[in-house]
Amino acid sequence: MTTSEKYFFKPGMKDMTSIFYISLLLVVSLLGAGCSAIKAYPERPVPADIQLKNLEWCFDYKKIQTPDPITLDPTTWRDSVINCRIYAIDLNFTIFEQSIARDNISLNTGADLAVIGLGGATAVVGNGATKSILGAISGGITGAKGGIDKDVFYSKTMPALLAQMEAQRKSQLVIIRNGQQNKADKYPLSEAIIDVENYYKAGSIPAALQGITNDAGVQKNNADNDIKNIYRAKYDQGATRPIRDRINRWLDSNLKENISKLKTWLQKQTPPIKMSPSTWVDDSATPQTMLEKAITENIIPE
Amino acid sequence: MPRIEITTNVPKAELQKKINRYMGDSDYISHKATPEDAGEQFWTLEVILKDN
Repeated sequence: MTTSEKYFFKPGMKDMTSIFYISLLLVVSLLGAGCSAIKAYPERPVPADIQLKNLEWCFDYKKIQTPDPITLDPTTWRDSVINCRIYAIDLNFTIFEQSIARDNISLNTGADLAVIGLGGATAVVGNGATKSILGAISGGITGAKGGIDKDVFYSKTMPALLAQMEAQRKSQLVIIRNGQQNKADKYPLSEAIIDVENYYKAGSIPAALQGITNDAGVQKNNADNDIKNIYRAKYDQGATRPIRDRINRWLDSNLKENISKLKTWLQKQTPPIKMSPSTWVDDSATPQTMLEKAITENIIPE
Repeated sequence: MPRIEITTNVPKAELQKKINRYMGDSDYISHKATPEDAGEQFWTLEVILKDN
């Protein structure tokens, strides 16, 4: 054996054959796993496309303008039309959810099984070069899956978007059901159709994103209100201290009564001062003129 | 929602008197005093009051 053969492994024919068979086995397992994805939804008794075909009548504008001669009552007719449309929208929404779940499960199980298989093979193969080749393939699949996850954002973002869609759909359905409490002369079919269209839109990604943005805005406003309820002051130790101490001595002489008196006076100022008297007196931001005004108008002794 | 009033730089000698003044206020709920320096010469006083 030469020096180079001693330190650097050169795979022989036997090793290459082993790598080929192991790789072939794992690729087959990857394809198999991807094709036979776990089902998140049971089979429908009647396929959705057949059901949707039977619901097409309520989207025919001419047909819905002429009430069914059997029902004739405009309120009953209105309810039949909008319930038909809501059912069709629900069916499509479920298909949409199923497609997301199917893509996510196929992607994860296929790639995960391949990574597990290759990782396991890397561990049991004794030969150093074979190990590094299998390890590289395993790493490549992990990297590819990571890239797809990032792009398609199934794992984290989609559940949040779907939850938002469901919430918005429910809110819009409440509007429709409340409208249906009225007779057709007060909640006509033309108005109900617009509400049903909004119900459809509520189950879309753009509407979910908009809803989440609006919710964030509301939360920001609440946070702003919380911040408004915080007053920050700095205890003054400057030249105005004697005036402040004079007011404090007066407050301490009859706490309950004088605190209440100064608080009433502060609230009568323009604009009213909401800060408590104790904070206001010692705050370095309180101007000397205001302190002197308080002394004069409340007849505060030396 | 209650109101929070935070005063920094309160001298140790004035702290208790200042707390007593807040406690004399009908809006007073609670307070927390935290030293600002190792020698505890200056304090931050955080008071929670009812917001009318």
